[in-house]
Amino acid sequence: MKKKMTVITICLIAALVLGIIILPLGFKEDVFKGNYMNSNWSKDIKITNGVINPGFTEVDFTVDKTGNYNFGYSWMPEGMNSRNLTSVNPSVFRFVTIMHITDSDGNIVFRSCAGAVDASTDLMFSAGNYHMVYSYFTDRESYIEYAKEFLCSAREAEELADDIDFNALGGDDTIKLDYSLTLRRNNDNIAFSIWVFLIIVLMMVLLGVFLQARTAKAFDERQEIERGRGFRLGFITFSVSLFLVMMIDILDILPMVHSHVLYTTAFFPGLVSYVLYCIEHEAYLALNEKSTGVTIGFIFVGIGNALAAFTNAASGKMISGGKLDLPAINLLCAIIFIVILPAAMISKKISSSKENGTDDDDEE
Amino acid sequence: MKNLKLKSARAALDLSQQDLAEKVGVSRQTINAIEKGDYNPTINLCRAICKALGKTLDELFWEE
Repeated sequence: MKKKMTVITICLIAALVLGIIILPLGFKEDVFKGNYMNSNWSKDIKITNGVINPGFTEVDFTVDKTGNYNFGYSWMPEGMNSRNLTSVNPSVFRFVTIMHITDSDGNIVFRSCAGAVDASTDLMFSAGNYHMVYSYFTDRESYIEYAKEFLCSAREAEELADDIDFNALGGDDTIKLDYSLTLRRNNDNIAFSIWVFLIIVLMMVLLGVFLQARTAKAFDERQEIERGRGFRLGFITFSVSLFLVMMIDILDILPMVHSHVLYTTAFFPGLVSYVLYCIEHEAYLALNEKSTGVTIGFIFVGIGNALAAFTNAASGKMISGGKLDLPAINLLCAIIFIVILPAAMISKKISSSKENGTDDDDEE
Repeated sequence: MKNLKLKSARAALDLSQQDLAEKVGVSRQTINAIEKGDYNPTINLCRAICKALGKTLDELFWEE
């Protein structure tokens, strides 16, 4: 029986759409999006016989309103990003950077020290002008001297220096650093956050309506029974594959794969076995549903995953920390949706066509 | 166990499995499974098939 949208669902969708349209109109743009600053720049840092030129970089910025801000900051060699940052040998950075921010009275409001970093934190900023300095070091003594003044106490500076392998730094090189600075006022994001939340809720409601309409498709009684059996098979298969994955993870049989990737792949045998069982027992397609459209849909999804896998591989996201990471799941999905499922659909269609052509013959 | 009575009743009316399936509101594969004896239909489906073929339950589904 085809289910219709209830009055409540229609009213809910209408209210969400009205809210999405009206909300931005009720706020000034800067309040709606938050007081937002975003700066990105690059600089070449030259090292000759361990001497760095320039020795430091300065940036000024102004905060218009006092408040709690989300302060995002990063500096890293060109071509790196937060994903591949953790898998790089620190000696490639050549120098260590101390960053500190002072207000107009010279008070230090924030400081950080790293070879390369991509982080964010919540800070209270008063309205006013701020001065940001990045200082670069390849030798222990000048690092400790500067750290004592701008970073921490003398003892803490010594301890920090002990954690840095200064022997691996320096050399002769030119490193291009990419800097990023973002500032977003937290409180003013509430209206924007609500707006985004409304959009997400609307999308979920529409998806629910779509899925409800789809599941209202008729399967006859035999198909319902076979689908139930297929679900049972899929669940058992999933349970077994999850157990196997747990054993593989505990025994560290596949050290070249991240644990979260292993556990994600555990879903696929169950899902695929359910679908293949239903296809084999002619219970996957609803009455009057054509296999051609579904097969094309499979291939479309597979191509999307293949493109994602190719893009991730090209940008080096497939592997992180020397191990296979989540983007590899795209590759697995591509294989399933381009090869396995379409092959099953086409094979069943061919055998059904042959059966259909001889259904009046006695096959005994 | 094959249901030859159903098959012959269908053939007598010159109906294909697909035609009967559409009349009854099930898939062709279900009619095929019933005729092959791979599936035992519910009483409601049996009645629908009997109505479509103009036969009684005893004539189509009673084992002799």
